[in-house]
Amino acid sequence: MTQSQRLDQLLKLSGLEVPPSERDGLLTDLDRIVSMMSTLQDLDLKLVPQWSPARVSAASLREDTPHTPFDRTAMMANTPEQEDGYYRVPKIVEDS
Amino acid sequence: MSAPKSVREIRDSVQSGTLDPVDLANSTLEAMEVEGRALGAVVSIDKTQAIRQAEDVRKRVCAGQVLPLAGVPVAVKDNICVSGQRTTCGSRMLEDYVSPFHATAVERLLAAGAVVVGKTNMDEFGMGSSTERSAFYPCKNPWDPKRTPGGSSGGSAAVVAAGIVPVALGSDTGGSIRQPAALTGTFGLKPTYGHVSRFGLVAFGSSLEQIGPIGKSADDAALVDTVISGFDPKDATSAHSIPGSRDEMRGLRGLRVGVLRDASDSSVDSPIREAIARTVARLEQGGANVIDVTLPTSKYAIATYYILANCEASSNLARHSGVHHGRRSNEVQDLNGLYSRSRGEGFGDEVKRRILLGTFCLSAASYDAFYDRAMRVRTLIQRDFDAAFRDVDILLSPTTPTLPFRLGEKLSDPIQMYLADVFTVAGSLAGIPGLSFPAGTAVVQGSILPIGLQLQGPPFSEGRLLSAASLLAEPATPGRTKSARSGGEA
Repeated sequence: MTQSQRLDQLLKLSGLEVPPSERDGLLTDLDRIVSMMSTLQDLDLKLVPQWSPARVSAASLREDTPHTPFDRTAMMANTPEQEDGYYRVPKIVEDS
Repeated sequence: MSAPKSVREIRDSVQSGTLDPVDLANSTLEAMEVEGRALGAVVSIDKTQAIRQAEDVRKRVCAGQVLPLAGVPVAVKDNICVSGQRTTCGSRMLEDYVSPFHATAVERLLAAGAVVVGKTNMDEFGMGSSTERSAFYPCKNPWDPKRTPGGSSGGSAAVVAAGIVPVALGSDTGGSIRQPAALTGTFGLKPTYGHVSRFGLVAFGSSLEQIGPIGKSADDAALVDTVISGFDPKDATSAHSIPGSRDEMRGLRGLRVGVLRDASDSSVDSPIREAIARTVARLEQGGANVIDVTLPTSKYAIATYYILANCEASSNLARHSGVHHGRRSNEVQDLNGLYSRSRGEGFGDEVKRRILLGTFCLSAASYDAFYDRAMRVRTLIQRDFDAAFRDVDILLSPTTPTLPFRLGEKLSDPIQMYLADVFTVAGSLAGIPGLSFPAGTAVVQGSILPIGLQLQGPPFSEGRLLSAASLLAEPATPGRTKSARSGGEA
């Protein structure tokens, strides 16, 4: 896979697009930063477990009773396009 | 502008009736509007809401209520939700987003009688160390307007340093309270992970970030920390209060202090190294026991942080898709196009860069080599701190390797910007508290610039850090320092 194809794949996975004029500069930056992050390869980590936030105590579970924590109208006030309480988006399923 | 009052002075004056909270709110709002905007530190001000809050404080005090922060004007970083006000995160993506709820930290401030006088500028979504990555405009340092105040909580640090407000809220994922505090001569506290609720803090690095105070004094920061901290059932990572966390020290005698020494020392500006030496001398004169400490894994902290923070950012920022809220592109044909075009238009370069890096590190081919390894190195970093705190009570280090840098100086090289966090990221990875305090000034090319040093302690030792900082600090105010207590030119 070429660098450009790899970038296209990452952009697709990330749900992003960049102008063509910025691709080369972005590739150079990503390459340098990945190189910096690759220093962790120096370490022998076979016997080291993954970190977990052991110190933070688990919050209590709430009571299993229905409730409405937020007002729906207030929550949807920032929605770019809505209809009858639904989010409006471009058609996902094609007509047969 | 007259000398700023402290949080305690304001509270006591309002409580006793000698200071009217509405008058104070009005004068502060004007200062935010004029001086705050001139610095580029302010994103939005809701005068109506602020005056309403101040009038409410007046009523409550007259009714006999005792309010821990009566009438205290507080600025809030623009990634912390205030109901009915814009919460932009410094981004075009959320430029018009109005929060429908308060963050828990804000709710607690208001319950304690504080007045929110504005939302402050920041690096977009908390990704930056200079506030130059704000989508709107950069923020200037009150000490020298050609220099940055640091970031990402640069706006909050600037309005405190300029004397506009006595205290502001910031957020810190890898140094974003501590670093701007150091570059503006203020006190900035990143609490222990879990100490302050993250409910209402727009997510960037969920396992790392905390809301915390930036103040003109350790006492100011402590008073706000007391109000905003504590268990919150709305935050699953919130911790219950730990006994002894607010214990203060009575003096330096017997305090065991570790001075962090590692290879980064040679890259630290000489006035900062001299400030460390002065502080060590003061500690020893006060009867503290000072030893050198090294954290063997700390040289990998920057790489570890930027892998994990970017992975979490890639995941967290997926919610900003143009569907439920935020910017939606007008030029879309299909759903995937809606996502990519809206996010492409709404996010700045640094945010896109970090999302792409996070996606890369989490992708199937790279997960083991990057994310998994970083999570194991994080364990080693935490173990280093655990081992250190068996021998010492607090750790002393620079907060930043450099004095405040010029606007534009580090923008072209992202790695140079990342290295500004070299002393702060390890503490974030370990979840321990860190406090930057002012430690004198230095003269650089004719400008007097502040120096900040960092104290770190075991989990929930905020009281100890704040006490020590109040005993060690050499505070100064921009424009009022006639002679620099300095190590000379940098």
